[in-house]
Amino acid sequence: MSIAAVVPLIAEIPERLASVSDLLLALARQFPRDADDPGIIAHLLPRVRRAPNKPDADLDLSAALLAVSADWVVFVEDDMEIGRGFGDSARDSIRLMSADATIGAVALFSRREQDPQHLAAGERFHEYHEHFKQGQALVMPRAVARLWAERLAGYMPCPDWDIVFGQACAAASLRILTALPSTAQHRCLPSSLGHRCDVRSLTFVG
Amino acid sequence: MIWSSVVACCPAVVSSPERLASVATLLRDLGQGCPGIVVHVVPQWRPEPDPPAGRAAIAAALRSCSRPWVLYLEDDAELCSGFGALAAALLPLPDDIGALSLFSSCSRDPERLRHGVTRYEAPRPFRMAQCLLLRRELAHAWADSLDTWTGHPGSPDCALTPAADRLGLRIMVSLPSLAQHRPINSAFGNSGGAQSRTFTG
Repeated sequence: MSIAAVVPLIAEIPERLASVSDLLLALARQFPRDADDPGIIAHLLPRVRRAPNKPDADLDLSAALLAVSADWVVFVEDDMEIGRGFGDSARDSIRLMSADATIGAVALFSRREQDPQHLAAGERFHEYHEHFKQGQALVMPRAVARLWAERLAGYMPCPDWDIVFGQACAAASLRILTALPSTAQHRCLPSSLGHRCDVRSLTFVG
Repeated sequence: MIWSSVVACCPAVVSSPERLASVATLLRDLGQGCPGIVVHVVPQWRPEPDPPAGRAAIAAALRSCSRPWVLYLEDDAELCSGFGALAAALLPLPDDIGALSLFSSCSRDPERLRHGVTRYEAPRPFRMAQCLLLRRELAHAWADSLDTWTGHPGSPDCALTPAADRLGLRIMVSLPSLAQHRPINSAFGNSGGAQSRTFTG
């Protein structure tokens, strides 16, 4: 089972570069290479700051997703903090998706207010029936990454990546689950698009 | 835009703070100078030198490359200012050249440069894989060579020469060096830090 992490990176913002350094450390520790496990390869897309309509960035992401040869893709934004349980949650998600082809992806980050209630009820994975727009940390099979890439490439100018991802899964009748608790957290870093970042998971375990 | 047809691959021992910082600098420089590039990093947690694991990581990084051109970078490489434009001007490589080294520590390089030599055949076996432009086919063949490499455990770059020979491709060195070796101890347990004498920073 091979895994690729795909990470778009605004490399000229020092805080985001530092965040990606932490991400690489976490990936090395949580996806160790050994005789039985090929570990993980991070596909990083280092870019300069983008204008709000960002067709180049969308096409870059699309091309990077299409080029992945690994069986599974972990998509992580460059401003995400990775908790100690991230690798295990990703592997659990992969096992779940391997057994149920109706699941297109599992989100390892969620900022919904209802998350703590579902977690308290013992839910490990929850399906929210709403438009998907929380794609900061996702695990998906390569085939779904391709669906996303094709939709990104044919959809200019593009709305947010995660909205397009939700549309791609919906069009293919694929479900998106949310893993609980979140094992990735949104850092409050300068945004490449000038957005204020205040979306934090309520269940994150660091 | 040539960088859209290039993937950089970098096996990185991120358990070393100096190497992790070096990788971050590489990402910044590649992002600013090489628009469209993708960087494949194989992050490794290796507090102690482990040559077989290091070779396996290099092979995995090389094998993951699907674009026509590969920029192979060690995690302790430093790029010159203007690297993006200078390296882009070297692509595409002539048909008979499989790899072009953008780093060389040969003591005769300054003299070569004074005589106007900007490209020469690499010594055999090649062992300066600090920063290389190479064809995808050769990158994959190098990975295959690493799988069965029985040569010096600390010199995985030596496996490139037999791979190039199998494909009938040459390995060349470009002058001046566009990359420098940072003075960081080798992840293979070698005393690292061989320096280019033509790197201008």
